[in-house]
Amino acid sequence: MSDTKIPVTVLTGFLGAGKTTLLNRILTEPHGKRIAVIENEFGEIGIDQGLVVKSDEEIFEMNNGCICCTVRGDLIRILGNLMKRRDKFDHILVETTGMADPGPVAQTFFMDDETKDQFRLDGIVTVVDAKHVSLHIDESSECREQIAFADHVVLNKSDLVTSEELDRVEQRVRSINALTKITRTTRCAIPIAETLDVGGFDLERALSIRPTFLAPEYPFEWTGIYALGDGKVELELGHEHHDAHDHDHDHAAHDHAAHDHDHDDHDHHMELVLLPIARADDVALRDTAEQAVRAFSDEARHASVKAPISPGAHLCADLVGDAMRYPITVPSKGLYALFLEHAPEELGARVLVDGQPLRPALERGWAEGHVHEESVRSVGLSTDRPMDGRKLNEWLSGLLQSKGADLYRTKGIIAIDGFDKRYVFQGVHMLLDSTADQKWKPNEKRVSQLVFIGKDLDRAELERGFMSCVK
Amino acid sequence: MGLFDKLVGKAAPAGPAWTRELGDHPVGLAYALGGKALVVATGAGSLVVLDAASGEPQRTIVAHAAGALTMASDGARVVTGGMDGQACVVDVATSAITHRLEADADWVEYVAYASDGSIAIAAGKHVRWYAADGALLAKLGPHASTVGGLSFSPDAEMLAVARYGGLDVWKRDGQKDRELVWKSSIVSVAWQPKDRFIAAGCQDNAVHFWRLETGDDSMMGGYPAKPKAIAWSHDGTSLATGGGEEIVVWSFRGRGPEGTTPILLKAHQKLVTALATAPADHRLASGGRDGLFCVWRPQRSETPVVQHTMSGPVAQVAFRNDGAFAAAADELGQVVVVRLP
Repeated sequence: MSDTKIPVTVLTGFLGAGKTTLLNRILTEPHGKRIAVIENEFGEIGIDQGLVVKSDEEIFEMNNGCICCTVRGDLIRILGNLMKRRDKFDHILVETTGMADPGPVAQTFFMDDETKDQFRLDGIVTVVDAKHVSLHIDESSECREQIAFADHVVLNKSDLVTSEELDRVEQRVRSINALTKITRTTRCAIPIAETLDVGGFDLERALSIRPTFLAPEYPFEWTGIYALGDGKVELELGHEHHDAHDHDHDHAAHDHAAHDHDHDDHDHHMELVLLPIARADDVALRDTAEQAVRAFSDEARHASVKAPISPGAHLCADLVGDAMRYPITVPSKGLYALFLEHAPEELGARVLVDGQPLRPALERGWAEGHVHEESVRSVGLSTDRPMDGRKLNEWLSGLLQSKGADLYRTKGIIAIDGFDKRYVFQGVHMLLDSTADQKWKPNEKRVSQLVFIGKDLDRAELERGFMSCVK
Repeated sequence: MGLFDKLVGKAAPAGPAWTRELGDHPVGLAYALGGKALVVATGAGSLVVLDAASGEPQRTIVAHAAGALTMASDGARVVTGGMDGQACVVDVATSAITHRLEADADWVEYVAYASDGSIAIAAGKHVRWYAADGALLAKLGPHASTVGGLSFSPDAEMLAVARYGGLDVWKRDGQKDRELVWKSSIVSVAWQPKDRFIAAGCQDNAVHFWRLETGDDSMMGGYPAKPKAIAWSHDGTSLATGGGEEIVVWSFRGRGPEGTTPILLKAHQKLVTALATAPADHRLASGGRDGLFCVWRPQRSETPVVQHTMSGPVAQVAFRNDGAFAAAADELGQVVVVRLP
């Protein structure tokens, strides 16, 4: 008897985002898979296109009244019946209506024994309309939830917005769901295999996409992207003391006072990393920021006239006296991202080319501010100390009991003390599955990582709970 | 199962009378023509009539080209529910399709025969009740949700329809007799042969039942899974229920099952998926997702009297009319008949 479970992909997204387009592509393009489609009652796929079943999104609550036990009755029934035609398909796709809450859909694969035994939720794919999603995110909790639950966000209609808008939308999606894979598409043109084999609960894959999102805060506050290569390039600190812009003198003075008060301890030096960057856009910046995070973890050495600033190194530039200039070595002409520990105005930092100030092609702040507005967001926790399995279990059980309704997705890989296999967690609301996974490799660093995606998450509290479970 | 059980408690491995591979998921299994024929409905939509003594296929009837979901029989005829929005009635003796009954949605998921030969078919939220001659008696519904089961009263005067939130009980004239409310999804329903109870399996891993005289209801919980397979004994004195690896048999003698300890039958290693009761005694046939097909005498022994391992998860079990044989069909399409001790 085979234990292979049938993979199920759930397709969500607002009306008009392009779900039907994607569905049609999946049904018509060659990909070697036979797919049974469970389409919502308003779906537009013709019944003659293979095995297509209409469903009417019946929500079944349990007698205990618990919202986290709510399942989709139609899915249980249809999936059960589809098993009788097991020879006809090897993948199932469930399309939901735009207003559907993904919770009950996902919970069905945890809660219903029959479904759980025979099917595996491969992933939740959310199609997002790049042009209109900003409106929906603010107005609709369904929209936020569909993004929060997603393993893969298809950012469709990307041709209808400017690349800046697209970057902003992607940033917004990312700030809700740090784990999701994001693909920008026009008319949902995407390799179908990428949609069907999301391997949604594969945390490793998710982490490999964005290895440092677990870092709660970036070690730098500001980045500027500059086109460098011609002339003598320098970093200047303390420039506002020389610039006599009368009209904002007061303002600058005021800023300075505030900053003195806030940053006593690192008032007179600036840590920095310079890195080459492919393009002056948010996506390239994000990738380069990952490298910068790693570079910042190296010990900083002091920059000086004799030790110029060069790409890849973690440096510290001191401000002694009124102003300082540090030479920058530019190995080849191109775009460079300068990551600064503090906002440039705090120490009057700017890039000079042949003594003239150079404006960045793109600048961006990394203060906590850029994620603060999302009520739905991701919290990633990690530790390299082994964890106490029993304590972790107790903490998680309690947490899911009390916060389950607000926790949309939970994923994690845990190193349990004295246990040579990795423990893998995946959950939806209150429901959590944990299994012993593959063995830790001999030289592998045993790092435990746990990620929550949910509403009104208290990072500090989650971190306290998590850290109380280390051995 | 412990070593001791293995040594002393194991049923004698009865060799099957015959085995036949049909190669398709069975959606229905029933003896017909006084036990001479064994009829299997397949997921692909065919009815295969086998010689019950030898297992030789005699006829194959294409009932639904789009596939079939369910089957019921009254011993002379069978009715199948298709994925084509129809139910198909076949006379087993002649293999003729006598009626194609229209439904109200694409998938006919439940069909049932009443003692007078009338037929109920459920598709989506709708049920239709047809007379034995194929005349439409009543259109019932739409129900509160997609229908999850059908069961006629023993006198064929009423029909219980399972759905989310309880049962609707309809009269022959299409009027609702009563609503039996229970806030859960009902996944199976069985009217007691003595007409005193209706039992139902619930999505939240419980068996619920109502006393028809008073309308009082009770619940038996503690199942690890939802009890989709439930079956009354021929005389209505006991109710066998799946909903886990164990079969739980409740006694309905005297004051009923409340407060009593049920009989627990253990042999299956996975969920019990099919149950059937013998026509004239208390034997019970069971099939599980573990591929085990068992026959039990629950009141005498908690060990099966017959135990046979099939090629895949068991989908259907049935007793022959005289109780001398039992048949099972698994999801891979293997059909097995065993002689009963």
